[in-house]
Amino acid sequence: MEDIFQLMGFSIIEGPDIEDEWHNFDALNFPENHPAREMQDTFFIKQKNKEILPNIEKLVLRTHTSNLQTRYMEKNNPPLKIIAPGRVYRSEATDASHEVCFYQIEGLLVDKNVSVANLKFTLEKFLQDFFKFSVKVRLRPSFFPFVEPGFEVDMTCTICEGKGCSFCSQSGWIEILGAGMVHPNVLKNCGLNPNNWTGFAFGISIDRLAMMKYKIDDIRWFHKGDLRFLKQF
Amino acid sequence: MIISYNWLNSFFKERLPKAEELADKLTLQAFENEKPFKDGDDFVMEVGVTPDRAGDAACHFGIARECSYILDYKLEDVNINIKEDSKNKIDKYLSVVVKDAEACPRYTARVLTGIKIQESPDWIKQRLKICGISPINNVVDITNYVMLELGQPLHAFDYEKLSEDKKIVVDFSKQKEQISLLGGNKIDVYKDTLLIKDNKFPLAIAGIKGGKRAEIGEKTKAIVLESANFNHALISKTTRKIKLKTDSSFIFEHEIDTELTLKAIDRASHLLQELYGAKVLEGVIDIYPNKFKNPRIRLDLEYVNRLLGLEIKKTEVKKILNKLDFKIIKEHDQYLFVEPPTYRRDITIEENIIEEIGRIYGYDKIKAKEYIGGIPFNRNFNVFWQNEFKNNLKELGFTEVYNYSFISGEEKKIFKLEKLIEIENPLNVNSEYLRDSLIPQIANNIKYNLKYYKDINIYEIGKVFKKENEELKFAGATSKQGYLYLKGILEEVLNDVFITDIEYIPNKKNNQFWHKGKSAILKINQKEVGVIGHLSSYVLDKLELKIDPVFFELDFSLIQKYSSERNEYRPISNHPAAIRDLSVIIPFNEPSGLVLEEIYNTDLNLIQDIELFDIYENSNKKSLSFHIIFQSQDRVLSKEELNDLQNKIISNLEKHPEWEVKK
Repeated sequence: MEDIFQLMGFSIIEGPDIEDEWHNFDALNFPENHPAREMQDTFFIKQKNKEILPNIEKLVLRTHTSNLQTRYMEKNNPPLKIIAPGRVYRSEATDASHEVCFYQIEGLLVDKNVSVANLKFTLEKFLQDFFKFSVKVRLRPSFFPFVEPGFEVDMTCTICEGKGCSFCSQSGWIEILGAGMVHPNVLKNCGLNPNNWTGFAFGISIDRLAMMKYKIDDIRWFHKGDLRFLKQF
Repeated sequence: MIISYNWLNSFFKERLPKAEELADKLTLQAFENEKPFKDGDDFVMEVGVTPDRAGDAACHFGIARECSYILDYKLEDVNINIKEDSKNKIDKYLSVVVKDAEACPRYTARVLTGIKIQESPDWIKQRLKICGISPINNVVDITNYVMLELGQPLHAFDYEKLSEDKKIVVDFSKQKEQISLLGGNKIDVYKDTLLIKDNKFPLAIAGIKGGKRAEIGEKTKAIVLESANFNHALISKTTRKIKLKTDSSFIFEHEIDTELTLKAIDRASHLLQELYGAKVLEGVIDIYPNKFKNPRIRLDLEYVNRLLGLEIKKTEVKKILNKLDFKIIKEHDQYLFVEPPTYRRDITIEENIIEEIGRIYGYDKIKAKEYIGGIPFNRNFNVFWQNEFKNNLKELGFTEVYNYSFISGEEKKIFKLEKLIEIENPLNVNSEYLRDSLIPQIANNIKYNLKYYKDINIYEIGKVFKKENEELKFAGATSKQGYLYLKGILEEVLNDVFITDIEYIPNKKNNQFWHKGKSAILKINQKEVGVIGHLSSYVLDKLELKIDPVFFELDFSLIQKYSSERNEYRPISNHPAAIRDLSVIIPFNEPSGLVLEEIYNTDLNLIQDIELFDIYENSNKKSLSFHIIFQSQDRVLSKEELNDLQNKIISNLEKHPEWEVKK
């Protein structure tokens, strides 16, 4: 995946797994005391005297790679075209499609006059290169505090190529990632003027894509260390 | 949010599309839906109302509104007609004081008499049950019904159980106190919890749950209906502090329309009157000091199209805005000044409006368009070097593993790890700490795979977490092949990136889990990068590992620093090379590398290569046999020169009193 994005001109950046609450939530426009903050189950790091610490000193294990957007934008001026792969952590019970520890790739493009049409193009191109057939992409309204408009993105079902099957519940579409246009507050939090810049952002779960491409049925194989699985790849 | 399909249908004269079709339409233009399932003669729809819309759409009327936009149907409003009892004005019977208008922006109350507590009719009970709420009695059921219908939580108090003053006060608790709640539980509330009380006792925790004090019971004849609006951040904070969440608090954690307060209380009063003949006292107490002002947002039509990548005409935009109850206050060239309806508290900036326009117009109309821009691209060398190593290791037959970043308390004990970063809310015992070494998990990987394989060769390149920073480590192990094999693999991958200055020194440090006698510190370019060797017998024992694998763990960022693609061509000598053999007997635990070094140092120019081709070990000594290859760039080496060199080597070796050269 990194190769495909590099060929499209996205530079790869990396960042810390342990993040502070400001970068993981506040900078990304998650309000304090709001259920949106609880959309993701967060692992908190044990710290002394946590109650009196400001958010920029309270530590968590990052719940998404979106924190790399703000870290990068604080230090770099647009235009920007980056992807940020990394491990993310969610405190939820594991099962065939949920893990505590998995991989995401965050993508960000900020410049003048970037549009949803550009986002659609980038995602289609990436997915087509990755799955090696003419994937189409469908955008649906959704909500993430750091983008507006926000979308859930569906792609043509890889199993039936859009005709409808049990894997995609007969719809021909599979939900694959979240995306949107960068929220002006996020730009402001990074010291950028939203009147001058627009951008799109997306977050892909690498495990999910790999599961679809190689038809792996259980996400827990990735971290089990079982050679019977690993030797197949 | 659970929605009853039949209930939804009751807001329209026209018939809604089939449940499944409706769910699909909502998914594409409003909220994600699960597949609806049949429940009796109704369908249950699970609508994923997002947190930004829970203030207006987490109710049947709200979802019906969405349906009306998407399907272009006319929405029928609810009936709120009341025939008031003009002989009894509410002010004679009840008064309300709100001490903090920020905590409680609006408070409305009505008094109803002629109440007869009984069971609700079937259609109400059915609708409540489908939405997961148990019917209790007609009064409580109506408060829940209106909450599910309009999205405004209500509460009912038994009028006669209020203290004689009949005065309700909305104020913060002054000290820690205990309240008996409906349902029997007692709960502690702290200062800064907003309460509904009369002048003697607390009646309810505002917005969250009612108290036992003024509970509606069988003998209730008159009630106070409360419909109020509370500060959402305050309710959010309070539910977490007192650890109590209810259907009511869930709604109040979001910003709700203050206009809804009055509508809901009239709706509840209407239903109680129409269904059960209750009398409604004239007037409603309405404390609303600061009326909400709708924001006025400037919409740039060119920006709308630029951001979405569409070309929507102004007339079409205005049509959509009208449909959604957005008022257009002013128009000027490409700018519209827009006022959202009071129930859309989530609309605060231009982009919120653009999303509304986009989703109603249809995202499917957006055509993918390539972004052309000259943005400089930078290669990430961390990723590049990692991939180099991974490819080389793959060719050498090693399998990459990924392990969790977590480590359990038990592993911490076995491997004697100290100063680990701790997780405050681990999911289970396996996620209590963050790892500061990859070895414990690699050891577990070996143990686990022994069930299926005997010859296990694995590695991991992953992050470890020290108190001060995160580090990238490179670790691996071989279950069967032994120390020399693993050493060979490491040197091969290091040589591939042109790291050649590799040294091993005995590991004499007290290193938690490494075997002090059977492990070595690895140095590159004279810098310590890690350890290779066996684990201590204590660890092997605790892990119940029947075999003794060899492990290594190195600091990858240091390795990366010294990695290079640069290679310089070394001229190849045309003159023949000569080989001489040599055997040395040294103490058992003396590193063989020292002997190699000693030989090399004798003449760095003329010794082209040294190959250790045989080792013979017994309990206290080992015999090392070498091929030494001599070659010169510019001449053929004569027999005398070769003998000279050999003798020099031997005398250097014999300088070590414990070493013996076999003659």
